[in-house]
Amino acid sequence: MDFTDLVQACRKLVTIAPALRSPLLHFIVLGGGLYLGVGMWSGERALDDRSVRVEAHDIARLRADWIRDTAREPSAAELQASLSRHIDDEVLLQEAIRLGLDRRDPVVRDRLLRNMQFAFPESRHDDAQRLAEAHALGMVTRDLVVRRRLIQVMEQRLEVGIETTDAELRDYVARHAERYALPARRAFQHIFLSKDTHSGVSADAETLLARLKAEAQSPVERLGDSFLMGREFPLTSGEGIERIFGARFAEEVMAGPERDWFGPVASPYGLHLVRITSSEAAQAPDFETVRIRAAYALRHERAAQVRRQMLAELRSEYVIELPDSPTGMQP
Amino acid sequence: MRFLAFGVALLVVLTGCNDDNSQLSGGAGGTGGSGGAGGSASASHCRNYNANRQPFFGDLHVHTKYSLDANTQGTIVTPHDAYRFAQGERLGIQPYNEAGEPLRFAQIARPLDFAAVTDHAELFGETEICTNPDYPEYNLPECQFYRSQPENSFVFFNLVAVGLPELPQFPVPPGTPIVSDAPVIGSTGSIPRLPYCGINGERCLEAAKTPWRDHQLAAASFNDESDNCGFTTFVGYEYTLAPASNNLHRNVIFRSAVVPELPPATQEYPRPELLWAALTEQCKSEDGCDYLTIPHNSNLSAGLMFETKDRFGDDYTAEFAQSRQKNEPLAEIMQAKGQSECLGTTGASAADELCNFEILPYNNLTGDRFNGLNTGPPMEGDFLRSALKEGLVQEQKLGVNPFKYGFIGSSDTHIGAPGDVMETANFPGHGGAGASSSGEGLTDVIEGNPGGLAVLWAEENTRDSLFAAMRRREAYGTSGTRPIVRFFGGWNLPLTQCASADFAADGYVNGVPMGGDLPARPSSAGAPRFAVSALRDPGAAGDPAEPLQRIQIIKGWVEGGTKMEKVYDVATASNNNPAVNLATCETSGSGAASLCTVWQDPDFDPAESAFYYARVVENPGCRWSWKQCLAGGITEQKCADDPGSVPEGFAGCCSAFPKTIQERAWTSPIWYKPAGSS
Repeated sequence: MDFTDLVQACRKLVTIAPALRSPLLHFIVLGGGLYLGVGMWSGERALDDRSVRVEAHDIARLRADWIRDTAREPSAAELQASLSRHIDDEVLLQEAIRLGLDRRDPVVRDRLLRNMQFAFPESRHDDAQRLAEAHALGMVTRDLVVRRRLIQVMEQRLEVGIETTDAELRDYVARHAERYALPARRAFQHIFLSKDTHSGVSADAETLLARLKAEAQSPVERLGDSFLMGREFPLTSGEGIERIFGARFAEEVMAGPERDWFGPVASPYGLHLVRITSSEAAQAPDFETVRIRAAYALRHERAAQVRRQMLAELRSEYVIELPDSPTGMQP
Repeated sequence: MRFLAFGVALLVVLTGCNDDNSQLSGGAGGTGGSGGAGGSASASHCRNYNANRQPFFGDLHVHTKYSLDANTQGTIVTPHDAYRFAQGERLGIQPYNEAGEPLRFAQIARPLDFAAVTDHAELFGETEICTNPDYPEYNLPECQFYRSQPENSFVFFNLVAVGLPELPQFPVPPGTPIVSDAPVIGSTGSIPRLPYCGINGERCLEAAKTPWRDHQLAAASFNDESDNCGFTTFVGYEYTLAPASNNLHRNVIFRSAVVPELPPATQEYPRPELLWAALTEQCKSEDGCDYLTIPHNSNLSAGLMFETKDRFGDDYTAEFAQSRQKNEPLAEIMQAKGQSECLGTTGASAADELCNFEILPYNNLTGDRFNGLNTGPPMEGDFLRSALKEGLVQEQKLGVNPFKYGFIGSSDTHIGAPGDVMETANFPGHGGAGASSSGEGLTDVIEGNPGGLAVLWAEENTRDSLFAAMRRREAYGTSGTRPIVRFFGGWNLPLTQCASADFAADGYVNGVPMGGDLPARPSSAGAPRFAVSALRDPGAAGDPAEPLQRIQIIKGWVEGGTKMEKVYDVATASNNNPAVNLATCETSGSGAASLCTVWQDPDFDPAESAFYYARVVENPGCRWSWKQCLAGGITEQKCADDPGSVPEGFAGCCSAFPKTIQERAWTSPIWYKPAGSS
């Protein structure tokens, strides 16, 4: 259709609805159009713009960070790895921005608003305006807290499809017996001779031991010195005994003979005569009891692997641009 | 849709009908205390239950990667990793090599009994998929459920995330919101893994992914609810109030797995009293929720932590004081950023030479970052001994003591390494506000330290039992070592208690333990007696500890309106002669393996309010910083002869900063209130 037709169509439109002639309406429509148009163009990346640009100064900064943290120059492999991690972070950050998380995440919003309040305390703008200013200032990619938050939120979104089967859980529990198994335990009585109050504590201990072995009904409660943690211990693990008596005592008690008095066993406090009153062997983990805990723990471990995989996939959708001058670095 | 709705109904019913968490966890063995608040006699107990109580060692102040803004060295340690570390597993820490493997490792020689990860709540944010109408999931039943029953949705999301065992059918009670018209399905009576979480559960897992939820998941992963009771976790967070960098932070510790949907933080509740009001509202005991708050680093609060005015500048009222006392039974007396017991440089405590201990040379969190701007010298009013005295004054005025604090220690580690608190050369630095992990130099600012421990006297290692100990203040703090300390007060404690067959039983029968109030004074009684007994830390391989040097009792009281304090030496190791060889860090001096005494207050005046607490002090040993100096080849000789050759990272080695340290424990106080006072 040509220009004349267009004019005729316009005239028809205008005669159909006299209201359409209103300058106010035109003003609103044009203004609204401009507003939307500007909104779409300014400061927003196009939705399919997926690229990360690395500059020479980024690489220089990574090198400086490495030196600060380890007090030496990074090798080529180490610098490459630093760069790789930096690119991972940048990909996650750009993806977060692409998905609009920088505008919706409450932690990011709060942080940007606080920054703006701090930097421009006299500003009378409302939250929406301040946020727009913060974005325009590039704060989203430069504020450390906002960066870490967006990267963290994106990382969490990558954790999908993590399953744990019963068989895997059983295997996990078996492989982490030290965490889930039940330790060996011993219950015992002891008679304590304090090295602080006995000048000849060894001799005194030997004498007392001989007496205990000879007399079947010794009044155990009245022998020896008082001990703050008591004379009788219920079934306690080796670690629990070590907490109170030290490692050497714990070892000897866990390995000692049952039923008869033995010793003297040394602790940091003095000497002890010990009688094991009952024993329990270490037990393999009870799967049903530890199942939920193990599931959470295994899931957490798997999440890290899945995250790495998903991140690699995401990264492959990005174009990575390195500095123009050769640095020997790969994307 | 109806299938989905039924599943939601099932969970509503499950969570509604069962207030016993162990059943919901699907098979955890019976334990003491997940049902009742006080560990009722009918609940089954841990294997090593002890009615006379036993000491449990833990760390209630731990930061991980979720403390975003404190995380300046790229900590990637998660709450899961932190709990594994607390149980004695090895942890890789930064820096990392080219394959992403850690270059340093940390591991504690002795596991902790309990721990709480407490990241900054201000950065937790909320789950988006159920609260953002743009998401397609917004209108699904599980999201509606989430929005209408937030307090139940944690349990719901997490059960589902790992799959449920086969469940019997439950009838849906009428009137259950959203789903009460859903049909019961299935004739086998079993429910397979609930499908509306998505094919692989990802929708529910997504909802579970916020930092707060990860905290709860980690705590659930490592809390041992079997009767083995090997380890206890607490869900917690840090409320990070710090006006102008003056520290008013508090750690919030929850007793059980029932916690608010989003922890109240400073943005919405910018004063502690607002925090407590919010917690009271959102954490109700009838729902099985309980909390307490623990202020820390009062030494860095520049006069604010214990000021006696509310946010409107008005004096405390009795009600306000009551709220503070009820919500805050404990305070951190020791952590990586110094001690908060007493100031040894000025004021009444300057006379107590042992107060000259791990004092930071500034009074708020700005520290020395801006050359003395925005900070000043430490202030006596910020220290707990002074606050306790002020508490007595307030009690006389208002009838309630707002500063009735028991003591604990913790680390405040920002690298997720709870309990790594011994003075060793491998102290990796507490991260965060400390120095970075560079190769050449001290791993932390010299005035920092590895932190302390919280010790609780409880019957067994369960959440309920430990939390009850925190509430009644039967707790003590240490500066990192593990001496075992008992402290009792009473009118009739037997003078021979130290020789008694059961010191603790005598104490409980004839008096009150640390953290308690002396019973009303019988008219015939003289001065109160205090029985204190301590066993030295036996140490462990890689964790050497020194023997005991002495026990002191510190009394604070109000005399005619004036605040007074006095330190009494009540037990001392004889023939001790302690010494430290600064060239090798070898220590000498026999010290005492144990000390015990019953002491009666010689200056007691029944008309004066008072508190008493015990301080147990070890023989000196090298401080962590000096151990690192020696390991780095910096000796006293080198500092004297060739100071120019000392690398900058080790500059603190040649400074006047102390090279030795006397580790110690502080028991919670026992309070005395005169008869007839309001």
